[in-house]
Amino acid sequence: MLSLIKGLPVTKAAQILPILSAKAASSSNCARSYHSFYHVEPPIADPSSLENQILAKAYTEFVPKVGFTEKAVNRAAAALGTNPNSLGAIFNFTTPSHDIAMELALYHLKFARQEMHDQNKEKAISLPNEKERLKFYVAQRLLLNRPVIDFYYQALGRMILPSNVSESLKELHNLADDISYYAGDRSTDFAWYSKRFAVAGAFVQSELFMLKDNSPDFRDTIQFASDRLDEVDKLGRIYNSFEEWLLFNGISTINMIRSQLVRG
Amino acid sequence: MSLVFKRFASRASSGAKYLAPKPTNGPTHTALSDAQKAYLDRVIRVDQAGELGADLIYMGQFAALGHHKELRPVIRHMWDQEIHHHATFDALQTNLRCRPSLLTPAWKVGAFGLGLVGGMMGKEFAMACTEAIETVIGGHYNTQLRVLSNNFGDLKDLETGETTSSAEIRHLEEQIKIFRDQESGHLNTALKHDAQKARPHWLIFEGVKLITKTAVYAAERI
Ligand SMILES: [Fe+2]
Ligand SMILES: [Fe+2]
Repeated sequence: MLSLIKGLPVTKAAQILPILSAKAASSSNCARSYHSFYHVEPPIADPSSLENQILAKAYTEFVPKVGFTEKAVNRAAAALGTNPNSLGAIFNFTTPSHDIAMELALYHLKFARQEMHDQNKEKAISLPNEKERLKFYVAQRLLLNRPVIDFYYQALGRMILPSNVSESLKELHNLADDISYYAGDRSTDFAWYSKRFAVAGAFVQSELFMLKDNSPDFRDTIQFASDRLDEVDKLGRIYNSFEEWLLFNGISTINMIRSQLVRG
Repeated sequence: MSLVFKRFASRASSGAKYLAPKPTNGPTHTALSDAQKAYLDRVIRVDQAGELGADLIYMGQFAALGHHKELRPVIRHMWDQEIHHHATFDALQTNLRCRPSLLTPAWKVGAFGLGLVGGMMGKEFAMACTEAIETVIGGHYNTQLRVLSNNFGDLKDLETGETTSSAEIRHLEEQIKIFRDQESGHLNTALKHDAQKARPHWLIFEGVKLITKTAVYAAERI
């Protein structure tokens, strides 16, 4: 028993330790993972940074007038007494294109994701099950697009540019992860992925639907989203029973198991 | 076999009893760095996948060797411990919001198959598999313990201002320590039950070790 402890692979630790320091550089780029209870969790968009103050002002005051454009950010900067020409130095760009309008679009995504949780924590608790909470959070998040809906096509246009798309997908994943978690998802296996993937898909489809929706209070959009999420629910159940079937009927198929083993 | 079915069907809940009790007045320590978070994320993912695998390997062995009067309680005991390990990492993964391994379906089929096929090859073969797996896992857990105790004590306690490990990190360390000791208990059990009489022992031992190491490598990343 002791030989196990004495004979530990020291080199392995040496391999791992550099990861701890090397990765720190490219930090804020990763999708959110590991949420601590005992350590302070940084806010989704830190309101104390100058960058976010400018973006917040642009978002609330100028987007409704001039849309998701560089102009909106420039005006907000000027209003806060910052020279719009110095934004390149102030901003901590998340995409390689250094696209100010994209930062504004991302600010909307982060702000709305934070609001979705902060505004609805209490209301969500009273809902009977995970599916209802899922629908509720998606609807609330969609409605957070309302103040900027007339210009939202501009933001979407920025997000899908090739240089911006990976950052957009990361934020979309974070949204799907938040929605699933707050709704009560506690999947421990592949269902974790299929659920987030499906929630993200349903959300994007609903956003596109919303752009053309003229119904009062976007009732049609909410209904559309609810229908998509019903499909998600069905999908998850089909997957899980398939897996059980595979495990118990497939054991006679030794070849299949062998091929899985080879795959390691 | 019916016990195998029952266990599989009833393993859903993941509870607070496996976690460090939540702090009553919010966070006690300053924020983890992104690198520290990435490391914890990885630890929980690979350990969850590993304990899932262990759970299913013993399930497979139990299905194959459960009729064996002497072996039944021996395997059952190790399996029960793995069920606890597995449930603990499930609770950590879901509550601390790490993603599970994408390859989970492959781990399930592979591990159950390894346990079942290994068990069908006979007692010695199965025990040699256990010997190999637990050897790799023991070293793996020791490495994690070293990193956890060396790299997570630099965070400030919000009340006292001292730099300490938070209860969350200490809890994870304690769990891994307990599991490591139980895994080396499994190793001893395997040796006591003729693991080294398997033929060809070196082939089974090295082969299963390689499979385990490859799985660890993949589960950390994917
Ligand atoms: Fe274990
Ligand atoms: Fe074990």
